[in-house]
Order: sequence, then C-alpha cells, then structure tokens
Amino acid sequence: MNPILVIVFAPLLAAIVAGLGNRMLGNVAAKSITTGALFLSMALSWPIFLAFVAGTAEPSLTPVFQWVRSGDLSFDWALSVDTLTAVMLVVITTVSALVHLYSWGYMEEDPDQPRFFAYLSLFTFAMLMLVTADNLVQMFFGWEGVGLASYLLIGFWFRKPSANAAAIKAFVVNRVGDLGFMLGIFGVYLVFGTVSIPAILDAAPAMAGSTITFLGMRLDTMTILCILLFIGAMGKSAQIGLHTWLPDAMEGPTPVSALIHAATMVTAGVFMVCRLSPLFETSQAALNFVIFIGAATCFFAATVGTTQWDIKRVIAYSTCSQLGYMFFAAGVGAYGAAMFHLFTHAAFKALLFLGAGSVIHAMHHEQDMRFYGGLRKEIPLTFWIMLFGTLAITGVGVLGVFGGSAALGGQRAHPACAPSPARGSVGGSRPW
Amino acid sequence: MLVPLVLLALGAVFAGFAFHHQFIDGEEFWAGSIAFDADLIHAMHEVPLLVKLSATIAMLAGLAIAWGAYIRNPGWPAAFVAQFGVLYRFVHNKWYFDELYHWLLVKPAFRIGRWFWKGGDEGTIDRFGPNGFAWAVQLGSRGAVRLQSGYLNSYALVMLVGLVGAVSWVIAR
Repeated sequence: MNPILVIVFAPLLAAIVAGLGNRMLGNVAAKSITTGALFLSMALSWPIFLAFVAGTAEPSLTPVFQWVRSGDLSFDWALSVDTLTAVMLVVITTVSALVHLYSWGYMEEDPDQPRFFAYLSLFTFAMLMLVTADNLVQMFFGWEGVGLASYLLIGFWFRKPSANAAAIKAFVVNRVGDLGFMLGIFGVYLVFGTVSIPAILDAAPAMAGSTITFLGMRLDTMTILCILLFIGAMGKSAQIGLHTWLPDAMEGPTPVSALIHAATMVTAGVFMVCRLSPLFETSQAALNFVIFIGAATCFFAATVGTTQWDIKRVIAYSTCSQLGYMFFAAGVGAYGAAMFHLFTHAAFKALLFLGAGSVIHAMHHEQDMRFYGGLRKEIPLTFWIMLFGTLAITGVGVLGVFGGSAALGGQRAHPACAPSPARGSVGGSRPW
Repeated sequence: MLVPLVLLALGAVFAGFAFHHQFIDGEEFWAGSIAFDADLIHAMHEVPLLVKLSATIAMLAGLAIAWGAYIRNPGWPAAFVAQFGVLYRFVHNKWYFDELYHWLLVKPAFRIGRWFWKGGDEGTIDRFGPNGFAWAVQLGSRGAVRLQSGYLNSYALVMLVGLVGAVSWVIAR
C-alpha cells in the first residue's frame, strides 16, 4: 500500500474510532490509538521528505476516488506529493504527533479526553488533505475541515461562555476569508475551465494581461483572481483586517494553540500562496497587495504584542506578525524563504506555546504574566526551553530563523518587522 | 510533557541550520513545485552586509530595551506608559479593531436581525400566521362553548329552529 494513503487516512481512522468509541473506549485506549496513528504518519512522512532533500524522489499522484463528473467539470480525490507537500507533511505530522504526546500530560485531568484527541486527529487529517490536494476543490475541503476542527477545539471547553464566543468568532471571520477563496475558485474555473492545480499553473502565464469584467469594471484577470484567493489566505492566516479571531482563539487548550494556531493551520494561507506561486507571479499588482498586507500585519501585530498581559496572547500576536513576515517574503518572490520560515517557525512557535502551556500548568492556569516571577528555579527545564525558543525566533547564530531572517532582511525587509519577535518574546520571557 | 518539549527544542535549534541551503537556494530541491527566481536569490546574496545584519541589529535593540525595561530598571515601562498614554492605550486596545468591527458590523447586524425578528417574524408572519389562526380558533371555540351549554331545553330550541329553517326552505323552493 502506498505510504501516503496511510499518512493521510490513519489520523482520520483514529479520529473516528476515538470519537465514536469515546467513553466506551476509555481514556488510555483513545489516546493510544490517536497518538499511535500520528506517530505512524510521522514515521512514514520523514523518509518521503528526506528523499526529496536527497533529490532521489519524484513527484507522485495517488488517486483515491472519483469525486465529480458533471459536464465540463471533473475532478477526483487524489493525493499529490511533491517537494512543497513533503515539507508540509513533515511539519504537520511531526508537530501533531508531539502535540498529541504532550496532551497526555496537559489534559490529564480533563473529563473529555477521547473527544479532545479525536478532534486533534481529525484536524490533522483535514490539514493533510489540504496540503496533498491537486485540485482547488479538494484544497477547499481541507481548508474547511481545518476550520471546523479549529472551531471545535477553540470551543472545546464549551461550558465557558468566552470559549464559545471565541469559537463562533473564529468561524465567522474565517467565513469572510472563505468567501474570497470560493469566489477565487469560481473565477479560476470561469477563466481556465478547470480546477486542477497543475493545469491552472501551466495555463497561467498565457493569461497574464487579459482582462475580465468584475463588479461592472474591466480589470486585469490575474490580479482579480489572485487577490480573491489571497483574501482566503488572509482569513486563515490572520492577516490584518481578518486577524481578530486569532488572539481570541487562545481560549482553546494550549496544545491546540500550539498545533493549530501556531504551527500548521494558520500557515495554510502561506502554503496556498506558495502552491499557486506561478499564478501569483503573473500579476505584479496582486504581489504588491500581498507585500503590503504582509508588512502591515507584521508591524501591527508586533506593536500590539508588546503590550498584552496574557502569555498566550503575546505569542498569538507574535505568530500573526511572523505570518505577515512569511507573506512579505512570498510577495517579493522568495517563496523558498517563505517556506523556510514556515518550516522553522512551526518548530519554535510550537515550542514556545508548549513551553507556555508548561508554565500555565505549573501556575495552576494563571495566564497573566504580571503575576509570574522567579519561575526559573521552579521549572528550570521549561525556562531553558523558552529561552531556546526565544533565541530561535530572534534569529541568534545558527538557530532556526537565522537564515530566514537574514534572507528576508536581504529582500528590503520592513524595518519594523524585525523588532517584533525580539521585543514580543523577550518581553514575554521576562518572568523566567 | 517534557519529551515533546525537548524534541521540539532540538528541532527549533537545528532545523534551520540543517535545511537552510535546500530551502533558500535549492532550485533543484523545489523542482518546480514553487516559482523559483534564481536571479532574485542571487541578488539577495549580494546585498550589503548591513542589510543582512538588519534583523540581528533589530533583535539586539529589542533585547537591550527588554533588558533595560524588565531587569535593570523595572520602572521604565510604567514611566513610558505615563508619558505616552494615548499611544499605549491605542496599542494595548489592539488598535481598536474589535471596537470598530463591533460598531460597524456586529451592532448593525444585530439591529437588522432584531428588525426581522420583531417586525418581520413576530409582527407579520406570526401575527397573521400561526397566532392569527390560533386567535380565530380560540374565538370560534368560545362561541361553540357558549352553544354547548348542556341544557336540554336550549338543544331542543336549536333543533326546533333548525327544523323550522329546513321546512321553510323546502316550502319556499
């Protein structure tokens, strides 16, 4: 059996078993099944990625089912694996497996553990569908799937009114972005007559410069399509204007914040822009829009992050800012640098969130940093972990982001962006 | 909980170092899965040293400010807030995005919703629909209750009136 099928569907199977089995199955069984499935996916993903690094792998397409055959419109469920997907596969499965493992300890006292783990695995499945999509509709399926899982997990503690409000806010704000994405997909079908991503990317350069009537105006086709698709990315990746849900999403349990709202789901927008990069390359106006939004988000979120008191909100604004950074890199045409930043950001931001979770756990669920102090002596390992995370995010020496920051610095970086992680997280790590 | 933390810390420290070259310069690595502009990447390596160091410089500036504000002189932030109160409130309240959306979108949406609910649904559809029928049925049954008095003589009267009516109809025809 093709390993990619196992990678994608093992988490779904685990989610179904753990979710339906729920209390009948018991905590330990549900947790073992979901965590085991994720570690299996991770173990199968790394060889694929390393083969691409070594240059021995070929892009592949694995058909799953026939999906839609209707007149001229036809597309199937299929799992496509190329370098970009391989990068996302290791990011998703690794962070997800580690977050599953971390949740064993973090959620130990929760009465609804099987439900929690089922949601986590369901999320992972949807995210994997998103990154392996070879047509826009399947990508949209994954896109909505992660949105649903995010909603369920933000509102996991549904007896808390603030958690419900935050979950609804996340869902509604994402609908706004998704409307843009949907219009983009419709527009792409209208213009190209297909939703298959490789076919669209092949046909895109020939379309550059053509015009289309939109809202009663004659506008550049590619600019309209790219901006509509990018609005979808803005919603999912919490860019300025559609960012308001992300800080509120911190109502969810901390492992959720680490997995969904730092490492994977919020980077789906960056992934989408990189996946469709040949499309974006045909419109300088759309790329300028991406640069502008990215830089504005970067600056905005960085300033807000410096004045928040809640430890998780500080990290959330830092995430928002870093996502702006990634879009900025994509906008100037350095898609490799954007993906590099996505890759390292997933590691150190998940680390910072899990470290924050460890602090919150040790502080009996106190999240206001003004009440912290002297924790270095109480939880020394967490102190060092947070310090490493902070050093990585601020780009010290050989650590994670160095190449990313330097590369982005190399492309006329926005001067205001760089202090963001620095001040945000050094300020954040003050108490330790 | 500590095992994943340590593994992620290793990832955070070494991932960038290990894969830097492939991701940034790797046209063969990406193999056409993203648009790759070799000239741009080449130009990126040629920028002046100061540009390359700008991120690090900004980080060090942030570190110095953080050290000054939280370790050397913890009174700083409070003094800064007192001095630049307007700026601080603007930033602390997240540039008033939530307030703006609340005023611009949430409240009008509630107002429209309330109008449809109170005026449209309750005031029109319910009033003339289900509630109207219920009202008519209630009125009719009140009349019926008055007729169904249980007195034999009133039933006899009704029968008599009915009989008179039927007979006169037959004759008149």
